[in-house]
Amino acid sequence: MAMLTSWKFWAVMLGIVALTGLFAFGFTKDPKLVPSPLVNRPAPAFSITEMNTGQALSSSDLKGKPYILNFWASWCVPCRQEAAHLEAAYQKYERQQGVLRVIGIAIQDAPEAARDFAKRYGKTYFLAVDNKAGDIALNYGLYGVPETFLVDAEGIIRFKNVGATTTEVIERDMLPLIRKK
Amino acid sequence: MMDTLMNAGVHPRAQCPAPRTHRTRGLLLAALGLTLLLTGLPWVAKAQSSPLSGEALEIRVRQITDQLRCPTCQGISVNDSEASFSVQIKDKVRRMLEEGQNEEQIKSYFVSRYGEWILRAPMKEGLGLVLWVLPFLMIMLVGGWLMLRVYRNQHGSKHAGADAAAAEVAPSAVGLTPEQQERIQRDLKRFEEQD
Amino acid sequence: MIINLGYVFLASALAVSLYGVIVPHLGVRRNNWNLVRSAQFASIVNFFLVLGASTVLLRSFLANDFSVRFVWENSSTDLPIFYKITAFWGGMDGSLLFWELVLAGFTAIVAYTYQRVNREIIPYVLVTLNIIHVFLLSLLVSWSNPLDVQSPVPLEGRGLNPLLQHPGMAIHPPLLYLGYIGFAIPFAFAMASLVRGRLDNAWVISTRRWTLGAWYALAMGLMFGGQWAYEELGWGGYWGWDPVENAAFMPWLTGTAFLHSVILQEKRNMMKVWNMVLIIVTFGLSILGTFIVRSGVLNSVHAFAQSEIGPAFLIFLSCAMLVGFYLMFLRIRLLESRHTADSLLSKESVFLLNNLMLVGIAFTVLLGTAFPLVAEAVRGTKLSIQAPFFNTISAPLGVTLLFLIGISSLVAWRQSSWGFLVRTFRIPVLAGLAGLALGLAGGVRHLGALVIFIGAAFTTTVIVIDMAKAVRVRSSQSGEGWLESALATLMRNRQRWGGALIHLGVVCVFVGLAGNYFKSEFNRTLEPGKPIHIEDYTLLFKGMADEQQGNARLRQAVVELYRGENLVDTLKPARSFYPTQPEPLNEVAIYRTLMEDFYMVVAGENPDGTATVRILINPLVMVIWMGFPLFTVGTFLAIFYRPRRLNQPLFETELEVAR
Repeated sequence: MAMLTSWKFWAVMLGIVALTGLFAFGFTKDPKLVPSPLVNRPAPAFSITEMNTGQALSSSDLKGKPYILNFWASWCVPCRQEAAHLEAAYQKYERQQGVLRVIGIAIQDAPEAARDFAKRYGKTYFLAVDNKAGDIALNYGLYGVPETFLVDAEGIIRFKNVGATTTEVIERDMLPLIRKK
Repeated sequence: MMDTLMNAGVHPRAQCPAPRTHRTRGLLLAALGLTLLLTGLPWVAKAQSSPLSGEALEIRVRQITDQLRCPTCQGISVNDSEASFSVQIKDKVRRMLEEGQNEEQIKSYFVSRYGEWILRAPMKEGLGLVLWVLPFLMIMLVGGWLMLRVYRNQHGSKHAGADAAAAEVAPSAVGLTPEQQERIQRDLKRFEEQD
Repeated sequence: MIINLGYVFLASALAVSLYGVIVPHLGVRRNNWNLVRSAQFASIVNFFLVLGASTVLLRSFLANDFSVRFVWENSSTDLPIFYKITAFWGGMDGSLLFWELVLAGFTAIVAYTYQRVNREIIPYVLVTLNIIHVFLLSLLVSWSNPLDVQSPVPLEGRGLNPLLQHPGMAIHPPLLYLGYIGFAIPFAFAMASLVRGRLDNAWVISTRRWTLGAWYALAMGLMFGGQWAYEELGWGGYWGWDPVENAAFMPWLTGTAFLHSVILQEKRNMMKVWNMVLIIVTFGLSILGTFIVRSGVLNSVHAFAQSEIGPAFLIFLSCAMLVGFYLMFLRIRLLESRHTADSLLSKESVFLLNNLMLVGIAFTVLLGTAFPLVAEAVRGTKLSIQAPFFNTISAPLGVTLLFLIGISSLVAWRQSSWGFLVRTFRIPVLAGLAGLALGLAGGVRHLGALVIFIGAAFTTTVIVIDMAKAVRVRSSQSGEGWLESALATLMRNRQRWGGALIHLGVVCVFVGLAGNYFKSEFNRTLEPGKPIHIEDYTLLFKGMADEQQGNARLRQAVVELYRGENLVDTLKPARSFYPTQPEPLNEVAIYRTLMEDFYMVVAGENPDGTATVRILINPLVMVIWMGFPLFTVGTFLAIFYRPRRLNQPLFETELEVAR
């Protein structure tokens, strides 16, 4: 049939297949997940004070040891679930083994509400509250909570997790990245 | 009346005067050029304004935040949104403007933190350029091709084409006597001259 | 028990549809018209079965039967009855059933009205439509079953999303569905023509009313959706270029192109291949629209949650397109005409340009909607493509269309003489300049808006002069009064004047859109008792108030609005708190005049008793809504046209009479 030699015919057929493939590809992706340009870049600087003790801490103080930087809020529902996991990681990797630190920064939150949340869900590691202007949150390109960054000993962000950071995420995705070095 | 005559396969003009078609072509090219110009307008860079305060500052904040997407909303800009992140971004943009930063610096700051995703339309470079140029290119190409086809039809195998066209449209088209042709020309002239 | 009955109805409908796929084909093969008739009858049976299942679902909503999972997900005992009914199509499974119900209704109408005409192609029309039925019903009895039962039975439902508790819910989705599904009819006729190799203009003429009706439904659905978004969402706009909005806009664009280019096919036997392409693409875009809403592939305000039926829709869409284009290429010899427009200065050329602009916009919208996926596939990064891109590219194309409407009335078929055109152009061009002057006098400086004003004045003048000429001719011939002549002229050539009215509606929409170029925005903190001046308005904040509306608690800011000395309105923008929603919704307050909308939203309430508000002055928005009656009357006229032969039954075609 002459049709089968017509280039227009094949162009149209292939075009349809290509569009289908494109949308099928779309199924494999989550439209809500946005890759961060901060990965493999130096972590933006910050200066915070612990919300219970008032102790000051800046990102430059943290150089020399990797740390998990977790952003949370008292009004965030998945943060309740991850609190226990992060606390466990704090106990095991910071207090027992001393291989990394766990830091938490609450965003868009009132200090009272943040303290209550921390008490209720058993978070005892270094916790601070971002200022009302949200400087740190914007500096880290946050578009929701919880979001967690893994920063290595040189201060480079190696990994970002969007959503609750569970023990599985820490052990499967984060630890191998710092052990390699 | 003109329609019926035309459908009967009669051309109102026996010849096509050359100057008129050149004019037609010229005008249509100008029309396409105008479309080009109108589409090109947004590419003209915005003028920078002098030190800002008060309402002028607010207008500038709006102009810039209109180009950033609200990170927690669907489809609207930071400017149009009252969500917490949007409010914070608006304040940050205001402070950056007060510090003296310009639009490019502010936009590139947010892109460095959020990725190109934070911009409501991709930058006009690389893959983004393809997006901006493609619709325009397609229309020019297809439009040009169409114009060429019609132009060729108009001037190419004109007489052969006319017969074939006439035959397709009105199989019952009958040849006209010279008197009838003359009468038609007179009527057409009268029709065209009336307003 | 009744739920099971409903499910049996669905399953039976599936069986009947399968019958409808196979039997008409058998009937043609064996030259047995009775078989085809039985399939026509089966289509009517199918409709009643689906109607039965729909009634069961509706009853479940009204009876608060939460054993049905779909009812539990989308309703609650305290939901007003009106919204219990609209919740039917408010969730995924129910909306799919609604789709099937409408399609079944249309199929039954097609089976009934075309009983005697189009004998050659009607069997394959039924086959095509029934294939769509089989697809939808297969989903409805398996993955997307709206009558799926759960146990234990909860005492209370999850409630309907408050954003959907709006009268628009009764209008916007049903109209869009009518539009999407309406285009399936000309598509089925086109497929049947291709299969049978019967490629004259029969399929186009037979389905003209369906095309026009579907076009109208989509247009109305889009406009109502815009109005709803404007009044409810609070960001100040009516069109956000959201993927699902785009998904409805694209088939409307190609449908409009189709409406115009079939005129070329009927009058000049041109564009037959192109019309095939357009109808296949329009139907495909309708299915794509449904797919985008259901699949979760693209983020949208509308998207139902990601679900398993997304892939099913994608496969169905692909197959439909592949088969459709395959058939077209198979028959391309019978469609092709070497013949194109005779002259660059002819109505045909204008129609070609019109198609180019419309399809150009549709292409842009598709590109912008799908491009984020391309970027992710190629570069792994996410891109946002929102209003700025779409507006920038569509604006010049749209404005060109505005001018083309006027130009097409002036240009003759086949060839126009330049001199003639210049003479007839004179008054409309002057009117265009008057439009420019008017805009400048009104303080408008933006180039885009001014160009639209010129185009609107130009095109309106062309249309009005056209009409006036026709009325004058008739009046001088018949001696009737002016009004009588006008009505008689309208009735005499309904298609043409219906079209003219619709074009006037389009002009209105463009004028309203122009307002976007010179709107103003203000953020103010209101103190009780202190007047604030904004342009020529004065606001007096009276304080906050509380009100309960249904299950929502409204926190209102009471603001008196003055224009000069007069109190023109008391606006109560509010934030409404719903028990099921963590964030409050914005209730917008609008004071409308023809020239502009005063649009106010509460941004926040401060502890010191002040309120922060966002105010938009949106010019010319009312003009857009003026398009509604113009579209409606115009379509009404154009649909109920009397064909050239008088005293013909409404649904028979000219061909049948010729036979």
